[in-house]
Amino acid sequence: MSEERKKILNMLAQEKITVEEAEKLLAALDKPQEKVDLKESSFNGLPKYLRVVVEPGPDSRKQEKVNIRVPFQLLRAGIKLASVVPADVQGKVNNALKDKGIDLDLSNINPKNLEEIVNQLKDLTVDVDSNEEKIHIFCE
Amino acid sequence: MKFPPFFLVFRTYTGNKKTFGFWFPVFIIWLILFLIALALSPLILLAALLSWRDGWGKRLLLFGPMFFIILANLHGLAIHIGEERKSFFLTFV
Repeated sequence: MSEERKKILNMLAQEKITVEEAEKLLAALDKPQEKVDLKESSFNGLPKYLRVVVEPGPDSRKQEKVNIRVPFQLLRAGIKLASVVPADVQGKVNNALKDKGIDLDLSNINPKNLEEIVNQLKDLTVDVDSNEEKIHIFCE
Repeated sequence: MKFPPFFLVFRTYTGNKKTFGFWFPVFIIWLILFLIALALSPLILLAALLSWRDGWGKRLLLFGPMFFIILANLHGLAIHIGEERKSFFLTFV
């Protein structure tokens, strides 16, 4: 008998849970955990690539599709290069990004931060759906 | 040690059929860039020494290796753009 099963039966014996609740918990234990296993096996450690897929929406005039695969190593190298860029140049880049609606301070991004972002990104997908275009960003 | 990619692969497709494929030897460009950097290295060193106090010297010296690292990590970068009828694909190998 597994440890979890013993705990559930003990809780039932101590009348902490009802028979129905115990039954539900035991049934949940018996269920195969395929979904969790699939998710864990989809990445062998950190993701290697960032994928950006842009597809035309239903109202789009252009039917062009864009599919870009960027290696994370290239992003890491880019961040390292950005750290060498002088502060006044970084300021100009930040202002240009702000004009485009992206409020990002390049000086705040360092290789350590990037590792943390990559770590979080492995479970994240971004989907932007509009009538003009569909954007799908994910890691693989 | 990782080296920059040797070839840029360019392909065009009509539907799912490959209509044109070309392997461009990008290592020739890297070689030319390396020779230019080598020829300019005395000047770069001098400029780095003269501007060391302003903080530019270190940046000038670091820029070369950093740029090399970026080129070396171009492997695997792939871009596929086009419609269903006609599209083009490029990647570094």
